[in-house]
Amino acid sequence: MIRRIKHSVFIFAVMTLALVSIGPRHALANDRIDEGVTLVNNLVDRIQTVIGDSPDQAPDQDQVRAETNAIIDEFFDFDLVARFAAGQAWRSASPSEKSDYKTAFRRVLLALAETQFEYFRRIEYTHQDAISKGPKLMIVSGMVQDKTGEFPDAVISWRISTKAGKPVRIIDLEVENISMLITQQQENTAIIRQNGGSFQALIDALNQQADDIAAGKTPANG
Amino acid sequence: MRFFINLPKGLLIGPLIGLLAACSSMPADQISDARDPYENTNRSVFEFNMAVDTAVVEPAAKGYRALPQFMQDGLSNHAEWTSYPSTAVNSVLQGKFENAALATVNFLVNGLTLGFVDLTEDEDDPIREDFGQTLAAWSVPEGSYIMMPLLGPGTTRSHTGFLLDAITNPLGYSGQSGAETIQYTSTPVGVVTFRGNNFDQVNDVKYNAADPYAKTRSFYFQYREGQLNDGDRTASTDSDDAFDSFLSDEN
Repeated sequence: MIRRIKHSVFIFAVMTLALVSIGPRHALANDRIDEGVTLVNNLVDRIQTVIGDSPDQAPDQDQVRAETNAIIDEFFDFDLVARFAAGQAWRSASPSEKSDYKTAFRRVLLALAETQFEYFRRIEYTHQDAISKGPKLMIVSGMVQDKTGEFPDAVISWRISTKAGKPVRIIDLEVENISMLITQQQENTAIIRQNGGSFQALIDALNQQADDIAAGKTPANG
Repeated sequence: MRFFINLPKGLLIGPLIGLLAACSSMPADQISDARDPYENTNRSVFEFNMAVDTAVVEPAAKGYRALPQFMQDGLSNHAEWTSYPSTAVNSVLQGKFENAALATVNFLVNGLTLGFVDLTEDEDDPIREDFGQTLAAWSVPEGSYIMMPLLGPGTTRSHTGFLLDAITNPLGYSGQSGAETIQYTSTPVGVVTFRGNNFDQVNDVKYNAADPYAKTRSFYFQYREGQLNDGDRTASTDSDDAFDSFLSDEN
């Protein structure tokens, strides 16, 4: 009988300890989730402000570029994104290569953002869900609707870094389960491997890509 | 008899899978993705497919996009409708009976218009299931990445699934010549409607990517993983693992 009571007390003590240790973590995780949702909503508002509502409103390219640069620094963990996109080759790259690569990578992002300007104007984002993916990551999901009705609705997910002691920052965007950053990393890895492991080849390819996008290499849409 | 009517597509695909799989694989240090041991051969096939896209598919997709919206919707609906028999069969094989019933009902109801009009618009759409997904559900290994001429990206498993879908498609066993015509035209119609509905996205990869082949391969694997998870975002994905591993290495 005494052994059974001792056993029950022991189990109760263990469960209490477990609840005490789990409780604050959950509270922290919920705070971080709220921060992540707010970050995405603020980003969407900011983009809407930059692009404006009027289709006749001609965007000032210099202003858009400056705003996009500011948005990247304010809402995204650009340093982490750039390192992740470089893949394994990042570790063996020289400091000057790393710096040149980050510059080229940012050029590509800015060029791509400019080509998507008209698309951003015609879409509407609605928040749907937020889930934790462990202590360092969370995903905020929403629905993108094309106001013109030309394109079907699409689910997009923002992958957000929630590392302890650091501000929440967006590190990836998934469209219909396709991660933009994973795609970029695999493309970058292929370029390096196809060029005998040369990191400089990646930098050259990214600069070329930024030039091509800026020059409007894509043929006119049908 | 119906089995043999379905065979030409299979006769074309089967040897191609074997031929490509027999191509010499690359040294490990030159492979940019472990799932793609035949990368050099695949890149050559990809170039061929892009040439076909430029010459045939992209102009056809432009023509599709020039059609009035109701005609585009009709063709898209028809392409989706032709996939329902395969979805019904494979849903049963995977134990997804509700999805099988949904696909069957959608196929029968929309069959009144040959699928051109979505009469079940307000209902839940069935989740598309193919034989490649069935093989995955049966734990058949994915195999190697293979870029097929004209058919595009896939793995040994998914291409085998495509072959089995062609053989087992109930449309081929209906005994109606019209049904056979629908089956034979479903692939080209599906290709053109897909290309037209994703025109800018495909062109972005084709013309703007630094390495369109690698980007297509990455898209394929992620898209396929989403299909295998039935789009469930709570499921752990390879992407989640990659980010988790990266953030852990940072500490």
